[in-house]
Amino acid sequence: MIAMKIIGKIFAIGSFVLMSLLFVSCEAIYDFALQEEEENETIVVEAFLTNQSERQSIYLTHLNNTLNEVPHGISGASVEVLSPTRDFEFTEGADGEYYSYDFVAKPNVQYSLKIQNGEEEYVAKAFMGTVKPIKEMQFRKHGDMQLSSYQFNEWGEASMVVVEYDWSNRPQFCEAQQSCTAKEIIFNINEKEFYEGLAPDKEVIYFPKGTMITRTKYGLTNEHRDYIRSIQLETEWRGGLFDVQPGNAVGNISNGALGYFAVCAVVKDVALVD
Amino acid sequence: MIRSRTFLYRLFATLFFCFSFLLVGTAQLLQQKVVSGSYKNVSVKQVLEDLQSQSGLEFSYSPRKIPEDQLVSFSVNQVSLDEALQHLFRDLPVEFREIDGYIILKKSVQASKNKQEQQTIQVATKPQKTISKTMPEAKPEIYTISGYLKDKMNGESLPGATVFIESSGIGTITNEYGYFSIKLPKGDYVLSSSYVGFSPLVDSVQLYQNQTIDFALEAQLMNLTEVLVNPFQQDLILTQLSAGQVSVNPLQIQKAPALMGETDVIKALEYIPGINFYGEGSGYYNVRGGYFDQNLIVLDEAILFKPTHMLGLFSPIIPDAVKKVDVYKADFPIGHGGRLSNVVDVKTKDGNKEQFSASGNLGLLALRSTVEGPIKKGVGSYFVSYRRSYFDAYLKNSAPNLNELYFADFTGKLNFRLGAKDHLYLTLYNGNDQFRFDKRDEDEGGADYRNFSTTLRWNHLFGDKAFLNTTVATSSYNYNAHASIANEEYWNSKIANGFIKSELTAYHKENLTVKYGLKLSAYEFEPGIYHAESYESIIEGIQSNELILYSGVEQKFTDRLKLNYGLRLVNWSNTGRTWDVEFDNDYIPTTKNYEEDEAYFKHTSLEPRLSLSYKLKEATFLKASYNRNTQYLNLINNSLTPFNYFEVWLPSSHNIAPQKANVFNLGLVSATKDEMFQFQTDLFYKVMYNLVGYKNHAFLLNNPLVEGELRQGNGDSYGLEFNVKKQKGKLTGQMGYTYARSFVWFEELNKGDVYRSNYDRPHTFFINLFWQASKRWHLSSNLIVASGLPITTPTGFYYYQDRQVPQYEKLNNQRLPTYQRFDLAATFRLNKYKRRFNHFLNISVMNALAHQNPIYYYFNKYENDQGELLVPSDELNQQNLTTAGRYVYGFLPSVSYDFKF
Repeated sequence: MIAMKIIGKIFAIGSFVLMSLLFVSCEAIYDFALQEEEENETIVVEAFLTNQSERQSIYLTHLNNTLNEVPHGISGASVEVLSPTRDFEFTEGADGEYYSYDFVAKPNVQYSLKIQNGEEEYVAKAFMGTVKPIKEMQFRKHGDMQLSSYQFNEWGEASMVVVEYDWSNRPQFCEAQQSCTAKEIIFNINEKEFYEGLAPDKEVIYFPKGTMITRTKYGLTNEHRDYIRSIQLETEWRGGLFDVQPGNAVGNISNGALGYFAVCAVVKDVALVD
Repeated sequence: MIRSRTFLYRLFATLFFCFSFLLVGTAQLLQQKVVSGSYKNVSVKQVLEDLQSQSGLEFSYSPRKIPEDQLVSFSVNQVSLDEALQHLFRDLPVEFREIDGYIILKKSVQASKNKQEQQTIQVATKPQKTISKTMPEAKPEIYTISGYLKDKMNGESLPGATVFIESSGIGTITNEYGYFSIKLPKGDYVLSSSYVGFSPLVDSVQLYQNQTIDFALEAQLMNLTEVLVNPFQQDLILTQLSAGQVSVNPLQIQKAPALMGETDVIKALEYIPGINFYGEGSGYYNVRGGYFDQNLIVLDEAILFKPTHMLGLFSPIIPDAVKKVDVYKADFPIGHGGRLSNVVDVKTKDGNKEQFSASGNLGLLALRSTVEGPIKKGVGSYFVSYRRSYFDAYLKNSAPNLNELYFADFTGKLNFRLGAKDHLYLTLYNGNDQFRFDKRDEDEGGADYRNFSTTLRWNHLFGDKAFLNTTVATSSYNYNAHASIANEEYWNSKIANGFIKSELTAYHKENLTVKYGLKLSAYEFEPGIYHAESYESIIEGIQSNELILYSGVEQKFTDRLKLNYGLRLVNWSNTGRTWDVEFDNDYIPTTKNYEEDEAYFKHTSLEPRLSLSYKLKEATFLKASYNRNTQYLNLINNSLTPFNYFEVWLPSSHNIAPQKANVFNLGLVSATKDEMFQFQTDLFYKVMYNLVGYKNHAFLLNNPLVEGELRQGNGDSYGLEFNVKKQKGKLTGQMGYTYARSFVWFEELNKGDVYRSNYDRPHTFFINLFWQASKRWHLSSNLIVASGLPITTPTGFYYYQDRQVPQYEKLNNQRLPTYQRFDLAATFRLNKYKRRFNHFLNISVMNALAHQNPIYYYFNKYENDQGELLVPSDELNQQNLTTAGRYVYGFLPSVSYDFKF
């Protein structure tokens, strides 16, 4: 009889403790001082050129020392993109932007990036990544909130999809969100990538009826895909129970520059959420 | 500053609490307890029972040595217990004393002396002895005493027990099956046998022909300080201890604090200097800077490939089933090898040979039960133990999509004595984890894995001079991650092993024992293959064959010096693949085709073993050893955390050179004369070659070119370990400190510079205490404080597509905070008096100070208004990211119920 009572109590306590163990967060914010490095001259190149006839930008910044630091643009550099038929000189803009209105990427052409920053020269080469037509947009409705979220369905090829939301015709929602626009960048590396399935929770962007959604899909080469996979492992897929050992994403730019020189074919579509 | 003060305060409070156990003194109860009684022609036993009931003190004695049926007459009135006992034993050869609240009765010293004198006379008058002294050229007749030592209560064999001649100290230690063999000149001897926790047994032997004698030792009720230790016996034990060897007591594990009430054999290794766990939730451990896969865990000789359940929270070895656990960190037994850093040799119980008995446990997460008994008395016995978690029952309501979530273990053993010279043992182990959940499309997903092993062992005696053990064993680890149960889509990682091994131990002379071994072993690997109807994987399975020949000599050169030396010859080959790739220096693959049975990789290695034991003085030994180890198995896993089950085993190949290590150990082991305290210190140096590392973000899963993702390098580790054990009395325990460093260097990682290995913990300090507070209460506590493990942290960040990407300068450049944990446990016997049926309530508190021990950090999340940590999505309205981390558990109480009969 005593034993039965004990068993009953153990079961009740067990229920409580197990719930605590499994569902009370074992995740916490820590005050951890990162090791500080001396001033670093490493440059970061973000070059996502496309086959669109529009302003094409290459961003040159310095490596930040701390988290959440605003990027510091590099000025005074010379940026060129060379092709077998024509060289494109990029003009310096603000905050480390170098732009060109002339450049339009073409398939099966090898492009070379050449950056001269002071005494240092950086070069990279890339072919254009091809892209398949964009698939029909899918949303998921969320209960009584009368809100929806975007459902990514571009599986089957390595791509980057930029989803831009505009709900400026819903001023109440703008006020509640303190913004009328949002932008989401979704990478798909087109592999049975286990770590993607094990990634931690990500913020969900909800939008109301009447939101205008613009999607831009970029095709990635295999090398660019591998680079994006590294970026994902270090950003979106980190913080779960199965994280991999930390490591640097290794791009295609010479002389120790970070970032990647990519040329992508692009497709776009626009939809109004009804 | 405040933080460090808080830490110091907690540390101080914890130490204070621990040492408060030590301060509880034992009063002189003999004088304090007052008793009365009038006895007329009453047996000693009855008087003792009456005095026991009046005083509340327990009497401990061997009925064989105390004349408990003797009738006595006397009366006392309001006298001290001391005086009453003096009356009782006035005319009897019994003396008494109080130790740790118990009254110990034993035969009086005078009586023993008389007996010893008689024995001395017997030995002194032996004609053979005289002849050997006066006529050295005459060869004395040598005979052998051999046999088994076993537990009198249940017939369990006692490995590691001592058997020796009281007068000369010549003796031996029983082997892992409890067998011993001693060669002596013809004559009369007094033979003593003993084992930790058992009353010593002394017997006279007339050795005029070879003799086979089995000894049955009686377990002590309490681990009392009173038992006298023969210095010869102590020296035998200390001589036999290998450099860097530690034995874990399964009985203590059962009383130690336990996570959710589940006592754990593997986690108990945390309290061995030189062994570190990644954190609370990890079942993986590293030894002296070695990788996880450099540990060999064998369960009755079969390999246990995956020592964890539930992501590492629990280990698969049921403590109830364990008889002995030996841990080797440097000087491996000659029969074991194949790993660089560690051997954990787990021996299961044979089963009660005398009577049926059962035990059980109901914890918060699991229940387990054990039954054992004789098959036929004197012929054999069985042992069956089963454990299953039942937390899926808790989760049904809160997680309706969950269909299955449990782990289970089964350990079964049969043993038969096939006459005087043959013994057969059959062990079967099965442990599995099961996880199933409903998917949205009326399908199920999940994961499962299984450890399975069988061992059949046959012991055969060739006369009294040789002991042969032949083992046939299989073991496997099979992991499946199911994408779709309905469509049979799953990822599989498997390793299986089967071997036949024969080891002959020849007792050539009293100072020379030689082991000869032959092992034929085969492995099967399924290195992460995705199975689906619409997908055909090009990754093929691999088979490997291993032939091992070895011989080891144990030779005593003088009374002080003993040497163990041996050699292992290992031949390894891979077959089974019809194609394989070889990578050049730039990791460009070249495909090579092979016939199905063709060996496409072969390697031979020699592994010398040498160890020395030198007696500096009584009960103090210097130990030195050198081992060269080769490892052909590699666990491929690039996870930062210890929880990742997406890992595969790969054998060495053209692209993965076999790992090798040279292991040096210099140690000192010493014990006090009463064996109360044992002190052990070891200085070690280990240099490792061809360690496996990974290129950045290596693509390890479902990759036919996975070997091109690996990098190989070298490493070394060194350190100094101290351990003090208190082995007797009401309060037992141990305290240890380790200073150790571990470094690695890979040509293609960390810019080719040397860096701290993932397991570099300079300082580790721990205390375990076990206190029999009263007849019914047992308390225990653990405290561990250790340097944080190295972590790789960013030294900069940059933006790529609006994401902040960390940039790392050096690997393992910083450390996690100091690891600290304090656990408590109390066991209360529910029945007032010990009976055949006993039951207990255990209360455990893990991490009683609720200290958060983060196991890793990340820098990619922000905290939303609800306090949740999320990876941001909206690139236009960016949030400030924060430093977050994970810890496994905080303050975690649990309760469990045990019974035995």
